Amino acid sequence: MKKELFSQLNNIKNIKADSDWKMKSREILLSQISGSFSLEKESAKQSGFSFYFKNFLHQPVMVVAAVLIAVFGGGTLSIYASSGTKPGDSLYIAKIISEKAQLAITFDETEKAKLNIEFAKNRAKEISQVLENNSNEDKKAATVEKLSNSFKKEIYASKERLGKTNLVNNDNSEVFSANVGRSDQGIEIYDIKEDGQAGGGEVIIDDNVSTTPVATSSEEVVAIHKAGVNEVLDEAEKLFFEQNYSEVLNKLDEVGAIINKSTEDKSSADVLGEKELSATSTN
Amino acid sequence: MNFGKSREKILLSGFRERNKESFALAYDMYVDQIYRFIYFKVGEKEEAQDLTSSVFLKTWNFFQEGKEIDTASLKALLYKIARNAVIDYYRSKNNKINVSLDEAIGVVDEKKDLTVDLEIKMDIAVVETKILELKDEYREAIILRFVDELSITEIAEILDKPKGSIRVLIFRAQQALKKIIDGENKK
Repeated sequence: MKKELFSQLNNIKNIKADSDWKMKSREILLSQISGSFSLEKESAKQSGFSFYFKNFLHQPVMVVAAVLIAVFGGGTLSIYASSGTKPGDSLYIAKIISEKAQLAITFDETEKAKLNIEFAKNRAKEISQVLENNSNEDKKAATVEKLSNSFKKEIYASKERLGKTNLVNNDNSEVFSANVGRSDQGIEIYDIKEDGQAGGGEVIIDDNVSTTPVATSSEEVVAIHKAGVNEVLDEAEKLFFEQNYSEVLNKLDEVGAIINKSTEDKSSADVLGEKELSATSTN
Repeated sequence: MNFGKSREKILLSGFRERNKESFALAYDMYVDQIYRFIYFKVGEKEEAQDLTSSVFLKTWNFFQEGKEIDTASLKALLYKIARNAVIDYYRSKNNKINVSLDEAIGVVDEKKDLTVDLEIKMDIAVVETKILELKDEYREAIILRFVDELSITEIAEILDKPKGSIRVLIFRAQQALKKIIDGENKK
């Protein structure tokens, strides 16, 4: 009898996970761990780093490119799969890891600020989901509090980052202009520093220069900025605490649109400014 | 030469070095065992699937975070993490879920020959009535030792108990199971 029972126990080994699920889960997990690779030098230097990469990634630029591919290529499926998850779901951790990985490999402050806004939207959506859930009230309250704190942090981080860029000044004053120092008598030739700020330069007096400022586009940029990204973010926060989560999402979309427009206009203004400069220098 | 131990060392080394291929290999090798282990504890297919995925991800993250992990076996570590995941699951659900193998009958490999499939299903049905009567500790020991065929050393690591205690536990679990069977036979 004993032998028979243990033989029966042995047959339990035939209980296996569903093949389709195994395959999908494998893909998702592999893309998740790809997205969590660190850009830190120690990781790149580790001798055990995949032998495929060891020879190929001897140049720093290839390391960056490979990680970008891993996150945006390999991470796409995982981001899609985990995008609708909320705290308590097993893939929620994958979502948070994806968010952190995206921030880690983004260098531009404006892009980081946009990511913070995306993550704030995620927190707002998650709170809606949690509140709809029929789970223990105490646990729900604790989760909502954590998500609220996380939302606040993302908004704060976004404001801080936007404040560092020259797209938006925290006091909404005119910061950016492609035509800094333009005067009636000439234009100031200036350097564009790496962070986009205008540097100093020499003044070339040119009586023939048009006194009409090119400024139309840069004025537009300033006007848009003055629409107050920070004000919209403040409104979003207010709506959040009023628990009007759908309106929060709309406001955050608005912020994203403002930033995108500002970035486009800044680029146009830069191009216009450069054209003016080169026209003046050839004259 | 103990290929099993060597294999475990290689896998562990791969995880420490964040080698994706090691992760894929470990997944392919252990996903069914971990799934089955969890499934016997939570009793629901979807929950078992979610928890299984989280176990592999958590194991990977342990190494990512550079934590000192005192283990000679990746398999044992996976089981440990699985056990903790189930404990957390119980806590969040705030109830103790008895394992039901009713659904297990539905997850037997569909590609098997129908006759064999039926025999397996009958065996599972028989085992179900016996094993469920065991207390959780004994059931766990029986599953780990006789179904998943883990060594005493591995079970000791998973359950965080001395090897001597594990031997005693397994012996008592067998005795308890035998008692249930004998009791069944007398009816």
